Amino acid sequence: MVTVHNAVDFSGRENLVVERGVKEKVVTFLGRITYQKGPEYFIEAAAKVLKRTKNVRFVMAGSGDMMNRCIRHAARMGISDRFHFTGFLRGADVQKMFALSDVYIMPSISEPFGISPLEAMRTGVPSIISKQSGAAEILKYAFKVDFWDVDAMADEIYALLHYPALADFSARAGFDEVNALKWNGATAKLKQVYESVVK
Amino acid sequence: MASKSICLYFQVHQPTRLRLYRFFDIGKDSHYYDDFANRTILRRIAQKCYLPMNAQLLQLIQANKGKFKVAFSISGSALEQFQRFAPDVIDSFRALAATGCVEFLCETYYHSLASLASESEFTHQVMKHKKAVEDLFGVTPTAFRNTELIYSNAIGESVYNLGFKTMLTEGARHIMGWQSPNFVYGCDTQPKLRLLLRNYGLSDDIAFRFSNQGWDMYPLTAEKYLAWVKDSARNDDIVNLFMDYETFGEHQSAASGIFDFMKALPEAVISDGTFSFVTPSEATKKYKPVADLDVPDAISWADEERDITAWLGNELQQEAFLCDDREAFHRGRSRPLGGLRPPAGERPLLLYVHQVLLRRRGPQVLQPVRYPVRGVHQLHERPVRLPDPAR
Repeated sequence: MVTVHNAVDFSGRENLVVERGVKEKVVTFLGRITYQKGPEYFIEAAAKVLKRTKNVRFVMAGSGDMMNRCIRHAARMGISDRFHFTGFLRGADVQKMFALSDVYIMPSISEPFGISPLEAMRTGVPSIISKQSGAAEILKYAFKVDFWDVDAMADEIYALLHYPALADFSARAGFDEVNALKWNGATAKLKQVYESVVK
Repeated sequence: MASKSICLYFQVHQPTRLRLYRFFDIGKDSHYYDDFANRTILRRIAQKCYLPMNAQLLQLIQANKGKFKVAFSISGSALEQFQRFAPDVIDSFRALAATGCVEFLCETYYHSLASLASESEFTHQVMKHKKAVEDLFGVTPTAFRNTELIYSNAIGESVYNLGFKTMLTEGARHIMGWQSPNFVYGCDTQPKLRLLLRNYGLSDDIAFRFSNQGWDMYPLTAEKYLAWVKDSARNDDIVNLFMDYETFGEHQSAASGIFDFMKALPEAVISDGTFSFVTPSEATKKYKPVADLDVPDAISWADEERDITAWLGNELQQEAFLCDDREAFHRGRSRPLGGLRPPAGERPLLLYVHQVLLRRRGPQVLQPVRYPVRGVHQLHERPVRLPDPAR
């Protein structure tokens, strides 16, 4: 079995410069709010981080069948004042959201690949992704945690928010790494696979 | 003057609605209100309800030469919006005040849950409202109604300490038991505070069931209704009919005949002679309390439960209210938020967020908030009238 990983097409996309409205750091989850994406682990991790520091806001950007449940979960954890649900984001709003974020997190329970961390890293946002996603196989400069390991997630988030050297490094390294992932490479590899089978 | 009385009270409130506010707006735009919706809705309701009904009441008062009386409580939020968008409504209420047959009650300025949260905030809002009523209508209120008729022993004590001797609340079945709401009662912990209890069966017959063609008592006429009122108060003193003023023209449209009904009813009552109309303050002067009511946990006029779960029943509501006894709520127990908690380090309270939380089904965080239609009137199929205690 040969795996050909996805790449991302960044041509024609300018990096937005967005003025921040909130003073605090922003940790973002962006995607469908459904079971496979692990939103509840994000909320639990957020609650843990908020016990340590108040200088952070958590954003769940997207909509889905678990959204109402997540809103109630956040309220039960007592963190609704620092937890925002933006609803479904379209087009330029997605880029805007990344431009406003300090950390991106994808705690997926099961994810064939997951392109969104690549988009986040391309915007210079350090990313935390679950080991159970396809992207974890190729990304060296994203932080990987088990999706159930809420303590590790909270640790990574806290570290990225409080150690500027770590955040700067992973933003720069992640940016370079993702830029090198081109679809040309993926299609070349795919062509190789076809050729080896046809022979 | 007849020995039995009817007390008519109307609640006037319009919330200041919030606009759609995105995460991206935080820190950039601090205008939170939906001016367009507020103006449009207020003007519409003024045309359908406030102006025509005020005019009709004025005409009835003048025609009956002091025999017809009503009471209002107008929230501060509504007063502000009237001044901004519909000053003609203020003028029409002033004309009613000038007749001397209309009593204006006091409440919390923002139609809020302050009574459940903070004594100082509650006092501040009540005083603010009292001043607004004095400034606009030239009368000083002596009777009180709390938001959504929320009441408990502790709230009653605080209201009395603020200088009010009369208070309106709900004749909730779980409090009344076999007792009839058709009497004046006292507050158990402050007997000098007199309570007037809403007769919810008869009030809701007009406010909710009036135009419901599936109701087995439809259509409601003044004669039929007066017969029910006489039947309900056969051995009692006073029938308290408290309802939302929007009943007249908005919840019950003009086409339903509600205005004609409310013209025929006072005339029928006055010509019948069994009842005379009184204002709340007159009622508590006229009748002595028959008993003291013990209400340890807060009651209200909302929903079937007649408690405060409509606004503090789910996690979001509780969290925004900064309730520190979440355990009790999660156990589903009716928490004795019966009154004002001691200010052991009062924290800033998101009291105005209560507007957002009035929606029971959970937040529509992305949508503009709409003030819910109070109660579950669409679900009442049969009239709910209190059993005669004599039987």
